[in-house]
Amino acid sequence: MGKNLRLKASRAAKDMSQKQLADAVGVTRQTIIAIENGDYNPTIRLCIDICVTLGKTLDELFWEGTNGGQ
Amino acid sequence: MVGNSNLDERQLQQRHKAGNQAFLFMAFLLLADMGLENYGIVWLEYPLSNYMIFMLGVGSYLVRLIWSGAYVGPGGGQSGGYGRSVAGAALAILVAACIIIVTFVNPSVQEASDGRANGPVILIIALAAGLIILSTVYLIRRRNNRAE
Repeated sequence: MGKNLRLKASRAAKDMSQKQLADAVGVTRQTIIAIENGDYNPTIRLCIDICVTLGKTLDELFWEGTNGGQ
Repeated sequence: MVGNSNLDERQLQQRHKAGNQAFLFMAFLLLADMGLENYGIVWLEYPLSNYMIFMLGVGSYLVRLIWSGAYVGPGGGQSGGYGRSVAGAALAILVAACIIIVTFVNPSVQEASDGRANGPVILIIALAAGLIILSTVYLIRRRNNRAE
């Protein structure tokens, strides 16, 4: 699992820190760091919460196929 | 994302993993201890050996939890948690001071127990452990809440 740079970019575009995103979705900052670094595979529930907070779709942030998330 | 235990999903996953491995580690050490004893090798007398193995298992579990950031859950931050921690620490220090004064300064207490009573020492160790836990939680919260 590689780094999730799309999540990092979307968060930066919203001008949110890792701590702010973590508080918004109810997890620790370490969990957001782990997701961005590709060290942790979040549940679909947490993925949806992150997408709703950042105003993106699941495809845009988490899909790793050839068609989506580009 | 936060369950009843006040930990997020990654922390719960880490806890389960560390807990399972600590359990297997302790089981292995206990079996190894029994095996060694059967061959006549006594590295520590019976109750102490089991106590040491227990402390090793629990200690490794705690170190892994703190290392992986699964000891303190999200939330808290600057509000609420700190007030209770400071009050707890102040109370622990006050109780420890009272124990020291009553036991070690007042000679009549030592005379009454012929100097054999371990109660005060155990109480002070328990209070010190409490203070260490409070300090650890404080440091973890600071690390969790620091800027990027």
